[in-house]
Amino acid sequence: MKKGQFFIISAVVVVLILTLIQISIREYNQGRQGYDKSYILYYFNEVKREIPTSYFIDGSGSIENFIDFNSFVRKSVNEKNFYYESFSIILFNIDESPDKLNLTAVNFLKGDIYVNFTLNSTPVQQYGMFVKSNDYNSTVFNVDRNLDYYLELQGDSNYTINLDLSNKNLHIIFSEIRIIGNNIEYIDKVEKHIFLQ
Amino acid sequence: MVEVSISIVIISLFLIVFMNQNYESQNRMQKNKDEVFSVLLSLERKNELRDIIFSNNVNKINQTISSSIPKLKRFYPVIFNKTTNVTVLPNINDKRNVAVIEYLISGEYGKYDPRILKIFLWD
Repeated sequence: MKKGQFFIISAVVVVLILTLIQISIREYNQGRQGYDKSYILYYFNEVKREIPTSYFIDGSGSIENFIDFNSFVRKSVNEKNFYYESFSIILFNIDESPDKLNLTAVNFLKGDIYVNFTLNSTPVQQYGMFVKSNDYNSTVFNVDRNLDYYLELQGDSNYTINLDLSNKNLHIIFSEIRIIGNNIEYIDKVEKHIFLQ
Repeated sequence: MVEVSISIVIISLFLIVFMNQNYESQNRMQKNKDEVFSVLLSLERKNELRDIIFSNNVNKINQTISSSIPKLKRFYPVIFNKTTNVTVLPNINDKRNVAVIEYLISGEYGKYDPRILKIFLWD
């Protein structure tokens, strides 16, 4: 074989190898292409919008629906080979005398969590709460709906919610939401104040 | 010397075609996804999307996408509830590259019933 012929045959072999690599990459990418970074950001924004909505979508304010929807989102996110986590608190007035405020914490983090709640009022009320993973826990604070409060929570992260409890139909939903995977980590907090009859 | 030049030309031509094909395919798919998502957002802004999904109205989604993006031929919307698809599934054995756009709702106002709209797009 002449030296020149060797170069041409080598070129053909290189092209064949590159073609095989291209076919393999295409096969590998089948079914994966839909879930890229830009897409997951769209999806994350949908989750941020819909997680609080799930609590009041039926018009009454349902912690059961809220928990069920968190499970639904987790399953949907897992199908994309990403991981979903959230920690939420739901606050609403209890129509009793004296005034009371219900606080429910919902834990969709990987592990159990201990959270400290401080309701800044006179006197300051503090409450430490243990919430198992994929579970929820509740407590009740004594309040005076004519006063303004703010609630500090210290747990996986810290957050403060301003409370205007004058309308007894007020419900407050706070969630910290995370979608993690494939070198992506989207984390954000959402707080929604709504009035339900 | 002539043979070396021919070899370089063979490999260069292949690389140009190969790289361009991949780049164009990825670009086209990304553009299609962005355009379809914009259509969904326009329906959301008009407060129509939640009702369309909740009433399983894939015809409306088909019509809106077709009229907004006339060049997009290969797409298929499917609506799922918590357990299964509530509208007809496409042929998912198609070997072409497929992308999926999803839109999530927890229900219609007055009723909790989570749904996911998935729009399959083919290259």
